Amino acid sequence: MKAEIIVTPKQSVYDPQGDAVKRAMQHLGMECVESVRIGKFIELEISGKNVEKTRVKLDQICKDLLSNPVIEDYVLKLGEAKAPVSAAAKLKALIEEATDDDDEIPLPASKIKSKVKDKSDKKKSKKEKKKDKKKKDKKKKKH
Amino acid sequence: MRWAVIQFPGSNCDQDCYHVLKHVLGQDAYYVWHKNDSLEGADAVIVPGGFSYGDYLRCGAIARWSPVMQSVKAHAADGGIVIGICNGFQVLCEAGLLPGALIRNRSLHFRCESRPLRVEHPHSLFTKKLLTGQILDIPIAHGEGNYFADPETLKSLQINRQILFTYSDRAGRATPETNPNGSALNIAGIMNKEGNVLGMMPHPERASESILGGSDGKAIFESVIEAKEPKGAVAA
Repeated sequence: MKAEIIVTPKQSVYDPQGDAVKRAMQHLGMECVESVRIGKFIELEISGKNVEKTRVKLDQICKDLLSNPVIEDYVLKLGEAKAPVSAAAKLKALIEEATDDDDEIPLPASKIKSKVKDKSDKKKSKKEKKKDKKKKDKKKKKH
Repeated sequence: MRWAVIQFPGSNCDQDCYHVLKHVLGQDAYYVWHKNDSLEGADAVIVPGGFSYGDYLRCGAIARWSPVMQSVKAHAADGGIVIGICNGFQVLCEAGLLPGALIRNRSLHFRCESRPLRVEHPHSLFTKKLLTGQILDIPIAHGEGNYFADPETLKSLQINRQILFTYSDRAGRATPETNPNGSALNIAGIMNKEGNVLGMMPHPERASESILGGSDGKAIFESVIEAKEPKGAVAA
């Protein structure tokens, strides 16, 4: 089994590290960054097959050791080991899942990237449409 | 009095505490290794400063689960005296012996300097020999000493008079300018509701001999000694 845990400072806790990074990002030209919160990503490999039993145990240890409930929140994801995926891709998926349906939270880097991708997709499709049109025109001319 | 000084891998103020208790105050002090689950009949326990277990994960997060800490918790539950200094304060918060948590300094800087501390009141085991509003010069040395607790907890700390020391100026005014780390209510040290567990970020053991620049911190240890060994009782 594999487990992934994201620990973040609670919203009510000031994160000076995140604030310093936010200011650095703004200094580097990303004035659109409104908030940065820095947490931890913990990746576990676990022997055994009883997912539910492991989940209960892990949930408890997230509260006791891996996070401090006074100052931190956590997201736990547990599942069967799958084909190896890069850590960055896993993190991206986890963040997207954690921030799903919450448009008010400023976009994490992964979403910004995906937006850029969307735009490029649209551009491609426009180009493709143009090509299609040209083809059609050519066909028309031939006729 | 028997004083157990806990040693974790990464503790670095254990010998200072031991020295002050044994050689300056003439106490029966001894070390207890983190794997030991017996406190060997201690009257008081010191959880010293340093970087227990390398401060991995969070300061004090791993130390709180060490075998010796289970005995320290039992000792505290029995009314035994526990003093956590700096990293020791972080360990006691993680262990749930004190409320709240200590997070990264607001400035992100490691602050290593002597600070004036205001004594909030003398009605505790730890401040018995001090006066309300008295200013103590005691050094701080930490990167994660920003005391955090939710508003209800802070309120109950105030109501139960659990706040013993605050960062202030020489006139006893606690302001944002006199706060070295962003602590809520300028908190430098608190005790539990029962009054037998103290946690403080400043290092009284580094201010217990005038040859080392000051002895204001000694009064904290002396308060405990006087409370547990009244002068008349020692003679009897």
